[in-house]
Amino acid sequence: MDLVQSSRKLIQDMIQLAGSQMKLLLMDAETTPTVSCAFAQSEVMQKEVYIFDRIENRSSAENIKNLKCVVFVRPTAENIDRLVKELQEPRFSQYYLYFTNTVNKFDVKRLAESDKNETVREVQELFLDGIPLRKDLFTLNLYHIFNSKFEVKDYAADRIKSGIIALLLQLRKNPAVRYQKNSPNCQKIADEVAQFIRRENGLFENAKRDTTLLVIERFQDIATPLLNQWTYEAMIHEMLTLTNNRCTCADQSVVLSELHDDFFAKNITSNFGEIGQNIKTLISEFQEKKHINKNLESIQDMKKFVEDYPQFKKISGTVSKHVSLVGELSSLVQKHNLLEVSELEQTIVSDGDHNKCINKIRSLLKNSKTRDVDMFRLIMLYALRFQGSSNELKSLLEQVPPRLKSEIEKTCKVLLSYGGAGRHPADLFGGQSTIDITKRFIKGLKGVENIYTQHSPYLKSLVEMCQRGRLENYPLLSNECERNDNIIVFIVGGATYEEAAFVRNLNEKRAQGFGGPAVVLAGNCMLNTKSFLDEFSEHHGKTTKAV
Amino acid sequence: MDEAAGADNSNVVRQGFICPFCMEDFGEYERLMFHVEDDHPEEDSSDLAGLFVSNVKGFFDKAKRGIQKLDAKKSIADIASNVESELAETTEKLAERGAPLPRIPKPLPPDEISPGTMRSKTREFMATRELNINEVAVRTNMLIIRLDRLINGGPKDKDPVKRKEFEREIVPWLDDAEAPCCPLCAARFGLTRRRHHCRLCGKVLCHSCSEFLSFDTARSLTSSSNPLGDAHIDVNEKSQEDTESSNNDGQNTKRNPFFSFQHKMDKMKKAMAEAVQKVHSAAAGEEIIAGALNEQEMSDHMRVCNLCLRDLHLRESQMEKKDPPAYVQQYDFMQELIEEVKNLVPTYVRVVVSLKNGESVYTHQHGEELRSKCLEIQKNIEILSKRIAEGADDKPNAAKEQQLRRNIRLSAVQSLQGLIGQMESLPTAEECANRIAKRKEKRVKDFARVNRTVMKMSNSLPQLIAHPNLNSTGSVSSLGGGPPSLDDGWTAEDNDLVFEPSSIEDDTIQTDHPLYEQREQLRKFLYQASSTGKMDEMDILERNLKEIEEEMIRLGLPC
Repeated sequence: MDLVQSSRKLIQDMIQLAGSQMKLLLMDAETTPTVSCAFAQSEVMQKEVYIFDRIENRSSAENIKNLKCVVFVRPTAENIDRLVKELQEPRFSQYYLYFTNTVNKFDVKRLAESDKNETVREVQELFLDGIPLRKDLFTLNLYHIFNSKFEVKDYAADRIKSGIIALLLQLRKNPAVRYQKNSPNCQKIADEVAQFIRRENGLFENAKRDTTLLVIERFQDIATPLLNQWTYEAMIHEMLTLTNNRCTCADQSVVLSELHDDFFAKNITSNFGEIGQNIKTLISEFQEKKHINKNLESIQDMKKFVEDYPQFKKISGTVSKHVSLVGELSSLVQKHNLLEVSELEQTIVSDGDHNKCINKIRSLLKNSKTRDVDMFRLIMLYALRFQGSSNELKSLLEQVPPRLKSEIEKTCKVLLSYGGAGRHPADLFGGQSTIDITKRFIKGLKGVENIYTQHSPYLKSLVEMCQRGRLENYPLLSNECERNDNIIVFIVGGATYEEAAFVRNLNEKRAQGFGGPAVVLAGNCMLNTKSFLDEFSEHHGKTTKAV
Repeated sequence: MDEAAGADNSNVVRQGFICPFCMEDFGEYERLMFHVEDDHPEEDSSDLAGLFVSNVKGFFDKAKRGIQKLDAKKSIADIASNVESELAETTEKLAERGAPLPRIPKPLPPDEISPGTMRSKTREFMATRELNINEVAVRTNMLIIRLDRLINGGPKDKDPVKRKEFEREIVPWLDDAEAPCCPLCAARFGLTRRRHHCRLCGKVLCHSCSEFLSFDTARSLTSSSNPLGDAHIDVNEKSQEDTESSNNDGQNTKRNPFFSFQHKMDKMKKAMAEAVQKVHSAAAGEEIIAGALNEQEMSDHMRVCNLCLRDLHLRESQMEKKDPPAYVQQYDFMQELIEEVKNLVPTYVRVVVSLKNGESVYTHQHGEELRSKCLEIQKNIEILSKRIAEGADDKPNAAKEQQLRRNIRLSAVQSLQGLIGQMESLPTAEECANRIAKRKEKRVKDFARVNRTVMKMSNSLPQLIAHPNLNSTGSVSSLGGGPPSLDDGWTAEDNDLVFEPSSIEDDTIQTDHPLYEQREQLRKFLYQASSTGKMDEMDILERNLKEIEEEMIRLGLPC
């Protein structure tokens, strides 16, 4: 279940089917990041695709008759309309139409009728309806999916459904479909997926029945997206915001691709300290190389050096990129006192001594270094953790700087009504059962390896439950699968990179032969704290009245 | 007392009356006792135990590494009580060993990469399109037939009224009253927006939704397009069926109307192609549609609606076959070159590696040739791609084409960079010769060594050689096999017999050995294969060549 490699193969096949000659790749706003996450532009150009165009902006009527046009778009009504227009007045000699999902009969008919010039050579449904960020991470880049009642908006539900279906078909899985019992959103989406599998059983003919699909909703665990992160990728997303594997650092766009950057591939889930070490070795290696550079005396040596050049350049490229990234991250950590903030966050979610926590929160609220977003986090986490018990949320809010007070208060209410105790979310902070208490006790005895990464997401418990087959709270909507080797988890409301890191480590262990299921994590978007809080920004007005 | 030394010594198993302090062997118990009392008088028993600890430690280090003997454990524990804790630990470890071994994790093989499910809709699409295309073709054909009649017939004098009557006779016009507004732009007709009739389909349209088709272009279209052969005068186009049957008198239209129609269409298309070519050659690419009313006489054009016009355009563009622009041809050529050099570079690398290893499979000159050939092609690619990119500046209005040209250049440069990066430098001829000589020397030595060991083996197995039967069967099996191995040790005798005399014999006698000829032939083939970059052929040939050389060395032939 390697999404990136599979997507690469798919795109490669698609381009190859168009044959040789120079080609143009026509994409839409959603398929562009799909392609860009799987391929570097130069790689695609090596396949004789020289122009990348968007179907939305058909600005010029310039036609280049010698180009073959490979169309890779989602089968939306708008795209079909655009294609109909394109085919009526074709700009290119041949068209190869590839859709990322199923196309209905009517649309095929419309397209066929508009192709009076007989330029279309191929019409295919491929299944790649989303963005393969990593081999086990899939996103739809779909934000603001909830309406004021926390129901998933219709178009978003539809988009999520097609995303899940394409994911299943890409991986060739016919899964046991399960959903989170207390989430009507999940039930609706999972039900539609199950219906689709029943209806289109021809498509699932070669699919394996060794997978469980779990559709869950974010409200089960809203603590995870509120925490500061310390593993490399998660940290970058939290502080600099990764979009389609790209972020902006020091006014430069940085691409973080597993495929073309070995250092990154190895350090995606390394923590901040380890990365510092690894960067250091990387630099010393580089300097060693530079040292050789100085010793180039004879022409023979120079020649040899030039022969090594591509590698040399590659290494120096990665070094400078990661040096500047880590530099930026560490300056942010220092500037905003993030170590202290994070330590407190972790204490709130794992240890949970009320008095200790509240005192620290008070002192951090007074600290001028503390960022606004961190104040948000701390208060949200406090409210979530100590909900119900004698809580001093009100007095805490008094200490918040006045410009933030009303906003924090509103957001807090919205969040609590979304993922607070009233919704019966998962037991995030350890329950009161004997087993839980024993577990915590043992954990306390062992000591904590790293105070900044004590927290583990609820997903971990979920995967464990799934392995043990204890899914009472996740009813089945289809036939049970034959084996349970794979788990696909779709989080309605967005996934986090902390969860992605957990899944990645799990899969790495499996690859080394330690067993366990392979897990693919998918979500409608990749959250960080900012985007998570933003997700509910629309709700403020209405929900505050309701609460 | 050097503890480390003691520990080291303990690794060697020693027996007898050894002094635990200085590790000397005294042979007898009494001598050892005296020695200890004399040379190590001050040491008390606890120190002795301490020394033992270190020795035992050394032992245990070893045990941890994999000794399974548990017997020694007890006696040692008795001697040194303070080792007990460590012992316990070790026993624990050993006990763990004894338990079912933990499964050593074996990395999973990487997943097979599959592009996932795909479903082709091409057939469905094509089927629908075919139906639709036929519909359009029928309609277009009808238009062309009407066009033909309209321009070739009609009253000789240019009386517009008579003309109109004639036109209405051929194409029935829609009644004005039935069209309150233009069907294309939905604008209402009135005093300012007059009703017009399309002369080809008879529909009512406004001025802006119709254009004028000049007779000249129409005539040049229809005269040579004359798709219906001699029968065109008889065309009766009241309905499509009529046309069909009237034009296919000779054919069995009723039984297979579709086929006959297809047939007719083909004919027509061909004729149209000719017509279009004529238009192009005459008017040098001028539009077939002349839109301006005031430039031409009334009788020289007719009003046609945009829909009909589109169909005519379509037919024209379908048959349009221009030569591709120069840069496309350049590009195709460049792509061929890139393919060629992509095959050649790995061949070259292979030759270089082989030369560097001192193999005599390829000659240095051959490497040189390949190298210059690669460089030559690369230079050509560079020039071609540059030319393609430069062409972009001549087309300031064509943004797409500019981008295309530039990206072609970019990608060509990338390919070149990759290829040049792969090309290792060629060792000089001298170096090659040296390396070949060295390798040969080494191989002869190796071979001699193998022979010697084999000989030793055979000597140590005299009973085998003594049996003539066994010996003969052994030789038979060795004839088919490759170089001698330890398994068939008795073949050594044969080898020796061949090896020894040949090394004494004169070289000149050996040069006409059939193997030389074979080798020369193989080299020739290999040369051809590598010059054209056929890697898989090279594989086989190289292997064969190496086998022959092996055999030659085995036979002691100078090569």
